[in-house]
Amino acid sequence: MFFRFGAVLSLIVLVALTGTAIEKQILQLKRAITHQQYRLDVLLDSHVRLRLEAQRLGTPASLLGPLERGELPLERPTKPRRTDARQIPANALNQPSGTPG
Amino acid sequence: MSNIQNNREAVLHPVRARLVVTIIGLGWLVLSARLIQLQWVQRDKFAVKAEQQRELVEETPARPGDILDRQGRLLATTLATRSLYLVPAKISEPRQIAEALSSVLGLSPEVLTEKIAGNSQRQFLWVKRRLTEAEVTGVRKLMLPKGAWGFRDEYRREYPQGVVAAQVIGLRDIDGTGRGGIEERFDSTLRGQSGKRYVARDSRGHVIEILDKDQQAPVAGQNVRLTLDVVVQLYAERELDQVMTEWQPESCSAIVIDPKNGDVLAMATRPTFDPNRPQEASPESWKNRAIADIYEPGSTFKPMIVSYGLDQGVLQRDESFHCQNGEYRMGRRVLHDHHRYGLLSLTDVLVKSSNIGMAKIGERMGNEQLEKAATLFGFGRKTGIELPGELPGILRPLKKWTSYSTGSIPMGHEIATTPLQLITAHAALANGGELLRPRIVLPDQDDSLSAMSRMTISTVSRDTAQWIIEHPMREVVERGTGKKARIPGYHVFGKTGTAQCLSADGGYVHGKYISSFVCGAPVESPRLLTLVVVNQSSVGGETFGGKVAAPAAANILRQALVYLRISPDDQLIRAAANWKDDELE
Repeated sequence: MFFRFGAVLSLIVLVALTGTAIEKQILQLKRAITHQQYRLDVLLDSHVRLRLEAQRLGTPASLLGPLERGELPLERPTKPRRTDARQIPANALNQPSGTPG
Repeated sequence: MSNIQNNREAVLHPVRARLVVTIIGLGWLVLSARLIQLQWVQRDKFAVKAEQQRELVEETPARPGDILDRQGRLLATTLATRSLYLVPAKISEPRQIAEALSSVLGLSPEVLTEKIAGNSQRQFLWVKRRLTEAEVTGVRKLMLPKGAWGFRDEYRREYPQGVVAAQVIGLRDIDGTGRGGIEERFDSTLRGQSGKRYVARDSRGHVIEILDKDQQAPVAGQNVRLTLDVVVQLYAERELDQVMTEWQPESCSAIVIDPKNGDVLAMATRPTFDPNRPQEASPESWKNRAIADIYEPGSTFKPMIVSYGLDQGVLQRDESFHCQNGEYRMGRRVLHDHHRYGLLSLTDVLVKSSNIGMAKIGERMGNEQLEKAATLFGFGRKTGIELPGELPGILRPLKKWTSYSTGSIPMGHEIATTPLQLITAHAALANGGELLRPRIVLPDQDDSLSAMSRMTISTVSRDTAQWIIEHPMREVVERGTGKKARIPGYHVFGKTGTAQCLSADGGYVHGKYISSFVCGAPVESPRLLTLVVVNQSSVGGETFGGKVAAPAAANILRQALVYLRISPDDQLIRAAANWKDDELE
């Protein structure tokens, strides 16, 4: 009788402990998912900030003037996106319109 | 004596006991009744209330989509930022907190103190929204009392190109709602869909758990890719700045369009504003004048009438008109030309921009055909570009036209147009007679828009359109009123326009003119079309479109042609070089 009671009690305790362990594992996984989501948000935001900064540094508004005046050194890309040469260089045709053509 | 007292107590004791038992019994009865009321009668109501107090639905904002130019350059993007709020009900020393915050956030301590004190019972009060990183760090370092303040995540819109295409892009206000331009027109596309999640709070309102039920992840807004090219846009913006400095007009606008597909490559307006600092914008700078300013097109309208007349067989390419030596009576009205022209060919009527020649063409065509021509080229109705605030212009119903209209309409009077309508009509001539719907959003964004863009209206025959471009409009630039638009290496076609300003009551404003110039190149196969409209230039009394607007339009066109690698004519380059050598000799 005592043995049976002990066995049932042990089983109940075992089930309860297993349940607690599973619950703990679920919570840990939840925490990990939340953490990953947070990290993803941070990385995404960081990506947006860096992209924005890169775009700001390379805006045509800030580069075009110095490029046309020859103040910025031009380095041609090794693999240009377009291979057809510009017949008139972008910064070589600076005379204003109105000259006879 | 003591016996009497004992007897009396013996009588009273059961009475008192019964009274106490009754009172306690009643107390239990009341408690039981209350329990029944709470747990049974009003159970659902209180259960809902308890859940509401414990659970909170938190909205997770969606990141709005980006706006890009046709090359993928960023025009607008979104950064996650923090906004600071206070809980005034938990602040005992408003002055102290206000002074500390003001030193970090650059606010007035007096105003902030007043704000906190005035809302002392409230649980929420915005202090400053969309803080910079430095401000967030500064606020953290203040170590303000716990529970009396907090940050909320919000999104801040950034416009990395600054003033470039400000009116086209528009902006997002403090609450994230699109105002003006693409931001307003594509608000639902850009905005995305906010998510929601349920959180459990403790009795102090602190979040203790994110609940699993009914979670909805936010859906980020979609990107919108425009037909604009920031470099071409910048050329237009720079030229408008130059026009503003040189001629000091009230306003001006410029459009660059690809006549083959209706893509708007640039659309600029002055005065303008920086969408990153909207608080500094003047009221006049918000308006996108390329679609929301109407004016009489003047002579820039003449090619449409001539082409329609030719197409209908009313006019012949080789015929001539006598321009009455600069003075022509039409009913009670006497028309004048700038110069005393005699016999002018049809080409020269456009090249010299003779009003008398056009009035005679008007007499030949009659009001009905003139109205058909204007309607066919899209005047009097919106172009349908994907921008809010576009005006349809003014084209009065035919029944309201008079004999006066017969002379006025052919020279671009009695009709009002937006710059976009005008350049769209010219694009129809440049592409062989097809009136396209101009577009500012690249078609892959939305198939229905793409389908609408492909719908065209046939205006005049390809042959007629080509003749107008290759002969009269080309000669306008080579030897006519638009000589200042010549570009070395390219055959350019164009048309000047000068018209009086319209007043709000329907008449004209004396002495105020709108100068415009539309030009395109190469004549052989037009790839680009540019329009510059200058409203009321105020330097030296100069108002002529060929002088005020033509150089700016040609400069934009020249730079855009070179940038887009549209090949010049080798022979023309050599001719230009020889011409320079001759000059040097």
